[in-house]
This record gives sequence, structure tokens and C-alpha cells, in this order.
Amino acid sequence: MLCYAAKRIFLAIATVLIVAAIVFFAMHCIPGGPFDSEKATDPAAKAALQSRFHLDKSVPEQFVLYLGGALRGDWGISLKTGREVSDMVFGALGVSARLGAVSMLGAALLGLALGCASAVWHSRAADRLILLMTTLFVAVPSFLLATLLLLVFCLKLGWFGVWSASGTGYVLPVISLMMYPMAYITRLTRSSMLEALHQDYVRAARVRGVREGAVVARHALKNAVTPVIAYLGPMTAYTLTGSMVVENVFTIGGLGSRFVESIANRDYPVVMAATIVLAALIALSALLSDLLCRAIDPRIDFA
Amino acid sequence: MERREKLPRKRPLSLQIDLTRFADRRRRKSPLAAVGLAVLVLLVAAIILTPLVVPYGYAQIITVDGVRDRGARNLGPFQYSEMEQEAIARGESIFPHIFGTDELCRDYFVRVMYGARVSLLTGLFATLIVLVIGLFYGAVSGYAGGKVDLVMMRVVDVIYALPDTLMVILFSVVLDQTLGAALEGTILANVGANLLSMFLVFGALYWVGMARLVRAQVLSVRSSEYVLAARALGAKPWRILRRHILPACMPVVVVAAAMQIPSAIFTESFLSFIGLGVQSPMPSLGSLANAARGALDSYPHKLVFPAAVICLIVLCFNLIADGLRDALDPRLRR
Amino acid sequence: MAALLQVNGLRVAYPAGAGEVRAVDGVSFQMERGSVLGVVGESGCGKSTLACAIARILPEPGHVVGGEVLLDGVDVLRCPAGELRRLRREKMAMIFQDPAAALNPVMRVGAQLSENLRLRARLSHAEVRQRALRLLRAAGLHEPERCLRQYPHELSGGMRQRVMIALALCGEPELLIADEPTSALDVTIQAQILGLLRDLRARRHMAMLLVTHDLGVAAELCDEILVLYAGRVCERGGVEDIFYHPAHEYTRALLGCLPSLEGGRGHLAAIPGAPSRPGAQIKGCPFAPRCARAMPVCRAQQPEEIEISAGHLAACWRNVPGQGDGGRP
Repeated sequence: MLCYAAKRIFLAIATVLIVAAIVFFAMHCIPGGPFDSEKATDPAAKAALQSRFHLDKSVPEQFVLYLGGALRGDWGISLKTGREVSDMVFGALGVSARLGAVSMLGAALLGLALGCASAVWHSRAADRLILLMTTLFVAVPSFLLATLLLLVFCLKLGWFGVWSASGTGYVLPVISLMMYPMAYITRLTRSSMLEALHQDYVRAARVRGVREGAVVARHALKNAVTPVIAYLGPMTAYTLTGSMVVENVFTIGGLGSRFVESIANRDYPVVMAATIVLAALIALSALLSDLLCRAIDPRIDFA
Repeated sequence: MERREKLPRKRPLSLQIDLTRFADRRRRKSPLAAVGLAVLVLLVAAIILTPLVVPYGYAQIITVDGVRDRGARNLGPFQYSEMEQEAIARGESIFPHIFGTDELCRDYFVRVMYGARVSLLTGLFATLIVLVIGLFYGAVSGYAGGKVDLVMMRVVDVIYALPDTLMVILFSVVLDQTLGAALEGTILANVGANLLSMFLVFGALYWVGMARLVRAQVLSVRSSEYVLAARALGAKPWRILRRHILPACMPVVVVAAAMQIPSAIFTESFLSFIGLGVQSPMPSLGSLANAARGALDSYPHKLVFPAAVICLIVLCFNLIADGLRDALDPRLRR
Repeated sequence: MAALLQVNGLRVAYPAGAGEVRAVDGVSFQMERGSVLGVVGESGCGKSTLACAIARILPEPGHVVGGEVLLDGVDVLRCPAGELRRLRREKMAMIFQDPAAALNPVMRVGAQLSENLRLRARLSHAEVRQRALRLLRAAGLHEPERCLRQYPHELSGGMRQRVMIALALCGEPELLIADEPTSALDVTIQAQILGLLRDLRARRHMAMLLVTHDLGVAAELCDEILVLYAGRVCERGGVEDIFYHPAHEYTRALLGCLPSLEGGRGHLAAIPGAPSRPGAQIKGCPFAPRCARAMPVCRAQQPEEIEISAGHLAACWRNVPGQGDGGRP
């Protein structure tokens, strides 16, 4: 297990490094340096600026310097605002993290509960209702849901103000972010629970006189939960990319909306930093879900 | 003697009956997939017929008798501008604006239909790319086995770990800057650098899931007895791959491909929504929805129409994929 | 004293297409305390369904259409959930064909045993461990301490079945339903498990309902045997009766299939044809289409069970005076 964990952590770090490299080199493929546009910069001043920002070195060297700087917390300076990139990125991360964490937790808990209910009441009215609801929500992208919610609840009904940093302000963004993962988790849980509930070990537990609640929770759910945990990584990725737009729609100043802004502004240092941070978050959650899966299900080998 | 004659004839027959019975029951059991398919066919028909029936282009600014109609801005569904009403009063026939018009006086129905066309084509084309690369890579890796397989799968592992949507965004930004100029004047300029970069990224990243699936299937089939028998009879590797292994993989691959389509459509509309999709004036459902946000309070229908079409397309593909999975994937049969 | 288990006219059906398939069609029998009854038949004859129906764990969409199952006088099929749990905890236990599937793969053996023990009595941690070890030892596991910490997939097939048996013994059941307990095991392990079951029966005076397709297993363990064909009882009687004086053509055909040690290098015998499709409506004797000695009456009318000797009954027209070898109604 330890050996596997080490290997897996190594893979996660490697992933982030690869992403950083791809981002860095991709950004350097874009024609035009940051100081080209400046009018009437005399060559000497330009050379000074370039050496200040290591632009006179080769690209691989620059990459190493960039990584070193990033580790020390120096992510460069925004081309647009002139502020420190690290301030911009990490300052925005808090809001996004709270939003993402709440919606992921909500999606997981609600999804598991609905999925179990649906499997236990298989092909009854409740199951059909849940199935219908999840089928519909799996077809609605978060950015549309966000815009539609904004339209209905803020503009037409006026129930919510347009983003205030208080508790109620979180309601609509969280709903628009969690609906798709929740519906997806419900479907995952339902199908794996249905399979588990038909297994011999569940029938064996019943015939021993175990209570139905314990049969579902202890015997069936513990077997059925692995696909849901495996979905944790993709769910993080979905939530992070989804929050780019959701934050934008609800004008929350989180990392996501900052990312989209900086893309629109072609503010490359910010794009780079944000990509690397987001990639690191996704890699971290994939790592966690992998380790958690193996902790729960002893049958997965540690190859 | 008698018994020996009977057996071979009886067995395939009974197998056949069982199979058709099974398929029949399935088909009856997933009416939702049929509904999805029917709605999708209707939608495709509408997309094909729109340019033939509706006399407006997607980028065409509405004119009445060759005069630009400035009053035709932001019309509601089935509304006519003043100039158009005058023309109708004169006895001319004006085609109704089914979804109204946009802020540049363009017919919104035509734009939504063209957007749907872009979405569908993107979904299908991206899936095709994924299918071809994934199938080939997975089949070779699984069939070759040994060190080749190991190396090929390490590559897959690394690519699989990359956050795909982030990469798509990044590549869209970069390729838009680098490819844009190079494409100027070619046919591909119509497609737009953004869309092209999306296909490139799909080709580069999204195939890994398919490749894993195909490889796993190939591995399980490869060691099965009928493939062993074919090999013992002296069949060549390519023949075994083509005649025995790939057909056995088909159900899983078809299901995975069907599930890939809605996710590609999702990605495309997402990119367009954040302004990285198709080149304007070509509309896309995502960019239409994004543009509608500007005047959400006054013209909510401009959000609702493209949003409804995206959801409808994705819903249909999901239903079809679910139906296919129930019918084809024996592991999930219940 | 009343019989421990009494099954009266039990009928189980599965929906199939528009209609229903009768997997168990009017089976009645009773079992005394401490007796061992074997249910034998080909695959698909309804013997596993019968066992599951008695334990009330029929897999969906199967359901009981009629009859009753009285365990110690309580109707298992109709009692409320709480009463059913009490019956299951105190009176009955079941072991399954495939121990790999019947043990929860994500729970350690110790956790499964302790869950099961705690259902029946409030026990301290140490007591649970003590009892679990004793049970594992009683089930013939040599390293019970180690076994407690292991997951089912780390055990061998025979060990898994022993763990299943240990789990079944938790509640000191009066009735053990064993659904093909040795079919998934190697022959040598089979012999060990059979020995264990015989041993347990002798020591604990536990009644056993043994479902098997293996006549050898039935002969070794059972007092009485019930031969099932197409969901109906063909023949029932003591082991001696069934093996030495079979009175039903199907039983004879089954016994004819057993390879004998003296037989040398002959062909393995087989009953021609396949069991009738479960959906088919049978008018006469269900075995008639495959029976080498079928008479016109066999296809026309369903035979009743007729007493051959004390406690030995068979449902075959051949045994009816005037029908038998005359061959005419």
C-alpha cells in the first residue's frame, strides 16, 4: 500500500510538472513577446527588460527559472494589472475553494442518498421520479443552469440578490455547480447498488437476520461506493471548469472567473499560474480518490 | 447415429431464437432510446431543411426590398418590424421570424439552427477522431502485449492524468493566436481556429479512455478459446484482429462512442460560452447563450432557445447511449 | 412434537414474457428435528429455488404463488419482518453454493463474524473474539486468529466455505439449509466439507436441508431424499429405497448415469433430451417426453404420488396397478 501510494504521489507530481511544461511552452509559441507592443522602446531599455525577466535565455532555461520562482511563490507579474500573479491567483482561490467544496460535498451526499433510495425502491414511483430527474439534469451543462437560475430567481422572481458574499449568495452558484455531479453520482450509485443488492452476500446477510438498514448500508453500499469515489477526480475537474463560468455568471471574483478574464485579456502569466494551480488540485483529488478506493476495496491489487 | 445428426442442426437454431427474443425484449424495454432517436432525427431534418425553407442566412442582416431594416433589431418570436408590417400591408409575403431576431437584426431561428448544426457536427467529428485513434491504439497495444503494451499504456496513463478541459482551453488560446494567421484564406478559415484546435485537442487527449477500453476488451477476447482455436488453425494476426477481436469489441466501443458524443457537445458549447468556440459570425449554441446574457432581463427568450436546444441534443444522445448500453453491453444487462 | 419444518403445496413462479414459469410446482414435505433431507435433481429442476423460497430470499422477480412454509409452526412466508428476523437469527441458517460470492468481499472475516454474533447477544469485544475463534475452530479452520484478519478473497475456496459454515453456526440454528454446499469446490475439499457437515450434524443435532445435484453427496449425508423434476416431486423415500429400489423412471435414469467402478471403459450414460422448457405447459408426467418407457397415459395425465413401501412414494404411472406393465389404460 505504502509503495503504491508513493508511486501514485510521484505520478501526481509528474502530472503537474507535465502540465506546467505544456502550459509554459504553449505560451511561448504565441507570437510576440510581452514588450513588443510597447511603443518607442529603445533597444537598450528593451534588452534590459528582457534580461530582467530572463527573456534572453533559452526556453528550457526559462522554464526551470519559472518553476524555481513558482516554488518560492513568485509567479510573475500580470500583464494587465501589473499586480503580483500569486496575489491574484491565491487571493481568488479561497472563494472558489469554498464554492467548490460545498457543491462537491452536497453532490456526493445527495447523490449517494438518492441513488440508494432509487435502488432500494427499484422500479417504484420514487425510483422512476429520481431517474427522470437525473436524466434531465445530466443533460444540462452547469453554465446554462447558472444562467437560467440567474434569469428566473434573481431577475424574474427577485428571490436572491446577484451575488453577495453572504450565505444566501452561495445558494444559486452551488445549485448550478452541483446538479450535474449529483445526478451523475445518483446514477452511478443506483446501478452499482442494484448490482450489489442482487449479490449472494447481501442475501446471505439477510438470511442471517441482519436488519434491512444495515444490509443496505454496511453490506451493499460499502461494496457499491467505489465507482462513486473513483468519480471524485473527474468531479473535481468538472467543478473547477464549471466554476469558471458559474463564477462569471454570478460575478463572483473567484479563481475561475479570473481564469476566464485572463484568457479574454490574453494575460498569459495569470493563465499559466491558474492552469497549474487547477491542474494541481485535479491531480490531488484524483490521487485521493485512488487511495481511498484502495483503502475501501481490498480486492484492488496494488500493481 | 440419429442423435449425432440432430445435435448440430438444433443448436444454432435454438441459439438464434434466443438471440432474437432477447433483442425483441430489449427493444420493447427501452422506448426512451427510440424517443431520443426520433427527436434527434426530427432535429437533424429541421437543421437540413432550414436553409432550404427559411429565406435568411445566419449572418444576413434583414432587409426589406433591399433596404436595411433598422427596426428589425431584437424582435420577439413571430414579431414583425414596422417596415415588414408595411410590406405585408402592401401584400408582400414576409417569412416570420420564428425565434425573433438578435441585436444585429439577424434571424434568430436560423442562427440557432446553424448553432445546432455546429454542435452536432462537432460532437460527431470529435467522436470519430477519438474512435479511430482509440480503436487503433488500443487494439495494437492489447494485441501486441508485453513491453510494447507496457510502454503504450504508460503514455496513456500520463495523458489520462492531464486535466482535459483545461488543456482544451489552453490549446484554444494558443492555437487561436498561432493558427489564426496561417489559416487565413483557406477552407479551414471557415471552421475557425478555435474549433480546429478543439478537434486537435480531442485527437490528442480524449482518445485515451477509448484506447483503455478497447485494450481491456482485446485482452479478454485474445485469451478466449475461439481466438486460440483460430490461431491454432493458422490464422494470421491481422485476420484474427479483424475477424475475431474487433467484432467482439464493437458493443463496448459503440456504447463508449455514443457516450462520447454528448460530452464533446458539452465541451464545445462550454468553450463557445467562454468565447473560445467557433469564429463569429458563425453561431454556436454556446456563444448564442453567452451573447444572450448581455440583455438577459429584457430578452430572456434569446437564452432559452439555444439553451433548450443544447439540452435537447444532449438529452437525446444520453437516452440513445443508455439504450445502446442496455442492449449491447452484456455486463450491464439486467 | 410437531415437525421442525413443514412445507405444504409450495409454488414459486417467475414471470416470463407474458405468462409465468412455475419453478416450484406444489412441493410438500416435512422434516423432523435432527434429520437430513436431500433434494436432488438436474440443474433447472427448481431445487435451488425451493431452498431460497423456504429461506424467503427468492431473487427478484421470483415470487411465491401459493403454499406455506412452517418453521416450528410459524409461517416463514407470511410473518412480519421482525418475526422473520427473529426466526432467521434463532432457528435457521443457510450456506450457499459459491462461498466466494456469499461472503462480503469488503469486510474482514472477523467483522462479518462479529456482526453476526452481536445480532444475537450483547457481547463484549473479548467475548466476540472468543466466540468467533471457537466457531472458526469448530468449522475446521486451523489458523483462526489469522483468518479473522483476512478478507474473503485471501482465502482458498475450502476455507471460504468453512467460514460460511462458521457464520451459519453463530445462532446455533435448528435448521441448516445448504444449497449445493460442495459444488464449487475441488473433490478433495468436497470430501472434507462433507465430513465437517456430517460431524456437525452428529454433534449439534441440527436438521439439514441439503440441495444437491450430486447423488453421491446425497447418499453420503442424507436420511431421506426428495427427487425433483420440473418443480415437482417425482419420488421420495429413505436413502436405501431411492438408491436400491427406485420406483420412478426418472430416478432410475438418474442412477443409470452414475459411473460405476466396475463398469470399465464403457460410455458414460446420459438421459436423452433436455429438461423440458420451464415455461411449457405440461399436461401429463413432466418426464414423459424423455422417458424411455413412457406410456400413452403418461402424456395424458399427471401421475399421483403412490406409496411403494412405508415412507417411500413415487409419482409414476408404472407403479399404478393395471397401468404399469400392461401399458394400456
